[in-house]
Amino acid sequence: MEADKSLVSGSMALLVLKLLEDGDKYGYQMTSELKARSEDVFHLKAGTLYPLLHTLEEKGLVTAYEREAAAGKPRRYYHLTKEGQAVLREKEAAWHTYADAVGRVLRGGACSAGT
Amino acid sequence: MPGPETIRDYLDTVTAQIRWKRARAVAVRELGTHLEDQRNEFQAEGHSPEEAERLAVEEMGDPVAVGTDLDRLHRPKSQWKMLCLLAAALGLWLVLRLAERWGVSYWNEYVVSFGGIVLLAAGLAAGIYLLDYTLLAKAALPLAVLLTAAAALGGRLQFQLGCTHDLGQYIILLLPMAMALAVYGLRSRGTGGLALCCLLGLLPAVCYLPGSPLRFLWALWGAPPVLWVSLFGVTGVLAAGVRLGAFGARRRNWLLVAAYGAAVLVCLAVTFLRPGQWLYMPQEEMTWAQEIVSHAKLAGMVGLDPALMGDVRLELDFRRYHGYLLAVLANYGWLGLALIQAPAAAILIFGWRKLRRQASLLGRLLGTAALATLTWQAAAVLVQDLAGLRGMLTCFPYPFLSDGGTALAVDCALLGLLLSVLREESIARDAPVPQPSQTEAA
Repeated sequence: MEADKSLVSGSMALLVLKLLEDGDKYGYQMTSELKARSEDVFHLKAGTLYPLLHTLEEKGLVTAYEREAAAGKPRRYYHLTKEGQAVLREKEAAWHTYADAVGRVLRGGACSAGT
Repeated sequence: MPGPETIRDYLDTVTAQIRWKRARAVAVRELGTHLEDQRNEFQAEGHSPEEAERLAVEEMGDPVAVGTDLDRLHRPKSQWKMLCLLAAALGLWLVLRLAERWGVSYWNEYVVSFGGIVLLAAGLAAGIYLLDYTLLAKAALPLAVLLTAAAALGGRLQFQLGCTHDLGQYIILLLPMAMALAVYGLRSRGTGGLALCCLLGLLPAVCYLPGSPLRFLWALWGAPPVLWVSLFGVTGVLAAGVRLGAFGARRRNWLLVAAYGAAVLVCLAVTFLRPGQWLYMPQEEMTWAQEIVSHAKLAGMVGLDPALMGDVRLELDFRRYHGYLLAVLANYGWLGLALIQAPAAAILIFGWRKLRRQASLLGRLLGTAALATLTWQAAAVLVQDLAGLRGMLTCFPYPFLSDGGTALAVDCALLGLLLSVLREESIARDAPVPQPSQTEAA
């Protein structure tokens, strides 16, 4: 099942930065890995990925370099910078806070406010 | 309207949205390889080639939206602030040149000739600014060798011309740029590549050395500038290359850079410590400079004893060069000295700050070369003038404050190159480097 686009779009930068945390990757690797790691929930279109990667590069959160992959094709690899690692940690913390809050609301239960 | 069904059509539609022609190929290259990967995967899953291509295109998303996003991200970064500073520097140059000739009978002719020089220098900077500097990468090594040879032979050329032309001398200022191209051309060759760069960088210093076997290349005033430019400019570029990982992350690379610096220092020692040759300390001028510096006011003429100073104001004339910055300090105080350096200093400060964001190795190296050269020029002239070390550190004038047009043109060319690097920041791409495993296999 694919995720609701409006839910995904706000967290796409977080997901892309997270994918780069354990090593440099090129675009196609990222879309494939995201699909696999999300168990087919996130289908990130390349048309969304590359402008996002270029934006992150402009902000200094990732750097890129070209290298020939095993098949001999030149690939543009992206690397998470120290600044990118810091932003990733911030975004992760913010996401957990948000997700926990949404979870608590959805689970319902007694509200102690005003008592 | 149905969308594109083939990879070619998809890429054409994306490309059509990108206004900057130079950015088009760079921006869509990744999309092309991504589409091919996706198509191959669909084919591997059992789809026909046509069907696989159509599905791959479908996976990409709206090409117009993608192209519009890429267009927004890949615009030339106009360097208006730096161009305004260059205009201020050139304006200052023109005012100073005309002011020192104020009152002469044919002043109008100077207006035309100096105005022409300023226009030519500005045109040179603007022309290089608009050029695609990445074209240098296509012949990085041959260009590096050519420039180094020109710098080594430049003194001889000047000698042949009877020392009446400065051209041979000013090529020396391009040595750091030659090193930037050499580092880029030999990147990923490990410590061996760095060693070759060091040898190439040492060549001009050895050629100009008095008493060296290559003395036939030596010209009268050539040795100190070559050595100082090698020590600061070339070593700076080598260090930048090592720091950016051009030769791998080996600690011994830093030792090699240090060894290069030490070799140039040895050349300097040989040059300056030859009895009766270069170890001439201009004691009188040094004392004079010390007096002015210690008695200089914040603004206004130096507060020295009129009997010592005489009635004549200190000469403010480039043609009788005895330390132009010292003369400015003596006549107008520290504020005057700061004002006259302000445009060049601002260019250097902004330039170094902006260069830190540059992602391309070639851009970083060339930008470092241009800025290191101009920074060394500024620092060397300032120290030389204020210490009264006439001609010991440099024969070049302060950046953008020269008497003639050649120095101004070289400075403008270097600045133009830096601005071109900064302008193309969003599309500069270094050529792919083979993986170490492939290199070893080969």
